[in-house]
Amino acid sequence: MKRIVSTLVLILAVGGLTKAQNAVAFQVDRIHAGNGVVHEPGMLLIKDGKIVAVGDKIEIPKGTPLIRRPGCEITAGLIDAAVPDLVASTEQVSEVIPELQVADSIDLGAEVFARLARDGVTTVFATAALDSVIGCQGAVLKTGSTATLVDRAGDCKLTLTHDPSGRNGGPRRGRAPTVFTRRPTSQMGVVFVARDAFMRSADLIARGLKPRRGSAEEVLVDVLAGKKGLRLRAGQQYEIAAGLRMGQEFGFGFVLEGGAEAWRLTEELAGAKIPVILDPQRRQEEGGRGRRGAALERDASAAALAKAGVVLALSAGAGEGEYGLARQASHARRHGLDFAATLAAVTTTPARLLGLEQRIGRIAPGYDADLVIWTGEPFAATSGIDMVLVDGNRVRGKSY
Amino acid sequence: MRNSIRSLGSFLLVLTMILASRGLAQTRAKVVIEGGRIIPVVGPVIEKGSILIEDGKIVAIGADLKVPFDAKVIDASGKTIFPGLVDPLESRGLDVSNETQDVAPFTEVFDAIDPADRFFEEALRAGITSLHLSHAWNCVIGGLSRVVHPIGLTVDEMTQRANGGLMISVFPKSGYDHAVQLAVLRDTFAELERYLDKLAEDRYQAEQEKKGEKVTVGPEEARKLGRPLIRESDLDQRYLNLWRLTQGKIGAYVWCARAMDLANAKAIAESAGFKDGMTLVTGSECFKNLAALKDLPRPVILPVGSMVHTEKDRITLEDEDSFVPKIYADKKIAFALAGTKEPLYDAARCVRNGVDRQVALEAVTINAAKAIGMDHLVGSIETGKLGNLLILTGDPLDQLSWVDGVLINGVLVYERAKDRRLRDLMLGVADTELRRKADEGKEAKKDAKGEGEKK
Repeated sequence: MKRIVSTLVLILAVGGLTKAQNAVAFQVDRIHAGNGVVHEPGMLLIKDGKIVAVGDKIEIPKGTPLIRRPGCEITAGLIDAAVPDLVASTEQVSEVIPELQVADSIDLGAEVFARLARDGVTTVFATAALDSVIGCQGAVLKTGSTATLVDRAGDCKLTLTHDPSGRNGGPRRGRAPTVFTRRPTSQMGVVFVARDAFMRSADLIARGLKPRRGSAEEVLVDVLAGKKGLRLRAGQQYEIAAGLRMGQEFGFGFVLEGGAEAWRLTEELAGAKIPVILDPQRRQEEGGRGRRGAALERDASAAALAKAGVVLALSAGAGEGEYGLARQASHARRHGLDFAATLAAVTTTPARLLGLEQRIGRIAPGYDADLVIWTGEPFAATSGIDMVLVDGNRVRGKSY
Repeated sequence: MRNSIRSLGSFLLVLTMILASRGLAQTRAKVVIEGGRIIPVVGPVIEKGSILIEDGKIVAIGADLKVPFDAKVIDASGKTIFPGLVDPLESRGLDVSNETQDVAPFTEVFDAIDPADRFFEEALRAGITSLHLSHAWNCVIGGLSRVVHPIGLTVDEMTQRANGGLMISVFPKSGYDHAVQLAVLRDTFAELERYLDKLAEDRYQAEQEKKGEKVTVGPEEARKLGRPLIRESDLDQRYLNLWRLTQGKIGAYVWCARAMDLANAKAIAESAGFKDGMTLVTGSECFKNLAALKDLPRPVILPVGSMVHTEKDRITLEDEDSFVPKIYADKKIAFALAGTKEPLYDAARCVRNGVDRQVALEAVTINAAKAIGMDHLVGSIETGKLGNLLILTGDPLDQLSWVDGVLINGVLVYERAKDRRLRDLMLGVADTELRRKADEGKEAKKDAKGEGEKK
């Protein structure tokens, strides 16, 4: 009976949250506020979608509903800084399209955003598809039954994997390239196309010319000037190395996305201060015998990168539920990443990589009320997600 | 000639001595695991206890066990002792998971198991000590299954039980629909009946001739009288396993992907006569017919891929998920998890979603053993059962726990400190304890060689 009453109270209290008007307070065993700050026991007050106060004991205005969840712990909403596949189609007008924006083709009402929210992921970076050498600008979105756009002009993306060339035919498939063959058709070609694009923009700068407004060159000039962020999608050692070389040649920094073999280059990445957004390590077994590329990956990649001093964020890619970001964090935790580093890799670090460290990723006054309430220690195998709030709104449904 | 006889004699003598000493060693082999926290799954937890294994079987468990002087002692202080895990249905480790032929009860997984498959190494690392290897459910009737442990160079060495059962699917295999699937299934058993009728008639006639008597009864009567006279050796390979199934000599594992399949499974099992030997393998939707899952002789098998049921609301297009183990647990339906790479993780996953801890632990141990009729040998730490034990670094459901050692039949077959591949996967960063142990091992070796002093 007591349970029913408390559940009812909870439903009523949080139900009020859907309008994000009312203030509501939480009391739990522990609040992991981020950057090593832990409140134990933890109290939290949110109002109008923002965090108002957090601490071991805080003043709660009269009349504010208080949700007590003994045994539960709270972290900031998880942030996945590299979610592909939110865009269904690939633009094929050119291999170099950094002037395009994925935000223009995202369905904000897509079920995937509701799923992500249920999995505790409250902010995502929708990245460009992999088929272009220099792909379009990604977008930052808040999840929920309807997603909201936070930043439509995010980092653009350089892809040095086999994807831009792999589907273009050519000798690889036993056919000689013809005039109709889409290029590039090899890894060398991919690197060439990328260098060619950067050289054009570098030339413009050297000659003191202004690029045409809205052109690819304009965006790449900004990248070269450090005004626009760049993602590098690379998995294998030689792909990452090519990116590092190009970065040195043109003097740009980037955020590495993927990094299946980043464990082979931990020192180089740490030395060049290249942050890594690591692809999902816990993955659904692909049919047949073992997963592709199994020899390349290491379960302890995350721990190895963190140990070498590389700035690390975790990503679930397109995975959800059992393969969602919370479980990727568990996997990294089991394979040697300590708790603080794990929490940072799914909250504060991706927030910083998205340039939103003043707004999301931590639990502090003034921050967005993006919260995950766990049934126990966050990321533990036995802890589930009890409740998720995005901008103070409770996410409907439950993730198993 | 004489020389060769003499050498043969001495060879035989040596052989006998080797065999005798091996036999002796086997009968006397005693192993004690000492000082660990024992979670027997069946019965209460012993905070600090020991387990004595003799001849491969558990003979004593207790807090103050007297250690026989000739026992090999494994120190497990600070560790948790847990029964070896049981995977009640698995088709990895076979060359292919299914035959292309729809009805293939004359095949046997014995011929398809690859002992060198990496899967067995992974299973051992995850603490799985019993695997029920069977064809998967993309069939009408699969081959004869087998229970193995994940160590051995040959299938015979691996075998825990040779005659498992047959995988029967009432859910259509690819390319079939329900109607075809069931028609083929019914036809198979009808054909078996026709074959047995014929065989019975022949057997009756043969017996009569043996006795020197004439057949005086009609064919109908002869078939009836001949049925009990059928011997296993009389049967054609094509029908042998089906006949054994209807005789209750082997079990049936019936795949029901959907709730509608449960009634069909029951009907076919009743008509073909294998109702008592049937274990249901349930898909994620089966909880919609809970009545069909109640009062079954064995726990149902739930493949891990079927743990979450997702249904899309046709109007809102929102997905709604249900967690099947929680529903089974709430309705007191005994279940076992199958096909999992990490059974302990999946048990933890059950706990995460509201299943009682004990129920979750049983789902990967004793209930899994019951589902395959092996609970007299495996699935818990009890006297008389096989010495299949795990030494864990911590609580079984803690994700930071690792399988530190595995015993199969009382033999230590896996030690984490010596698991080179795991160390490669971990890139040497994760576990200081693991490295310390490995280093200790190296030091000990050096000391033994006298190299330690040189340095």
